[in-house]
Amino acid sequence: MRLEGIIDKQADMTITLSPDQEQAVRAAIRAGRVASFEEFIDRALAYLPREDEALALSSPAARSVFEQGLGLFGGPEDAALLDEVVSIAYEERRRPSRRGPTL
Amino acid sequence: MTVEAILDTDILSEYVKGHDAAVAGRAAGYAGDHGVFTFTSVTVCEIVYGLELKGASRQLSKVMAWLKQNEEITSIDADYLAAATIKATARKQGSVVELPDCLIASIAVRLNQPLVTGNTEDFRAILRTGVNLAIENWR
Repeated sequence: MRLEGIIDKQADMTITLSPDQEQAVRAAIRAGRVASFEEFIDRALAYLPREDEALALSSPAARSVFEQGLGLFGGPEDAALLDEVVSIAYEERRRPSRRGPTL
Repeated sequence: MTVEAILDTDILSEYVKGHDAAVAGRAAGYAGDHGVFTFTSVTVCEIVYGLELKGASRQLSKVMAWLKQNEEITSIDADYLAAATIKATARKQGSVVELPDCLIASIAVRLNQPLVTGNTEDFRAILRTGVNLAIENWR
């Protein structure tokens, strides 16, 4: 299947679809999910992330360890739980030895 | 450029809660320089112990998944020896310091990295033993 559409005003672009792709486009039109090839392309493009989103997704820093960790326990329940955990830990650290110094 | 540091349990906890702007800001700067955070196996043990005690399995899975992406320093034999010396010296000076603090301090000294803690009072007795420990507080 060869479909031609005007991608921009400067130049036409010819897109050659594989048999599977062609079948998917024809099935979508036949089922009334899209009215035309142009609408199919428009809908497909709408699913692509915007340029800034794509950059964010591709950047390792986007979901850095820092970002994943910050606020990981930010909810009230989790934060209170973590406060208890730290409190328990530091209580254990401060717990005096059972026997006092005998020096 | 920040220097590499060991984060103590309270500071790590404050950062994952994300409620303290000062800690979050310092952590952001640190992460920008070093990518991951460094803490000791003592901190991991304390977090696991507390969450196990509270039966918080979901939160335990969540925090462990994140902790594993960072750098955990496990105590070596030299740390235990140094911790014993700190503990004994402190006791001779009339202070009781427990093993977790001594081990964390020993690791920080061995790696020549400051310890980031809000628990400065508890480490004061360790500093009095003459150990070459640098302490920072991000709060």
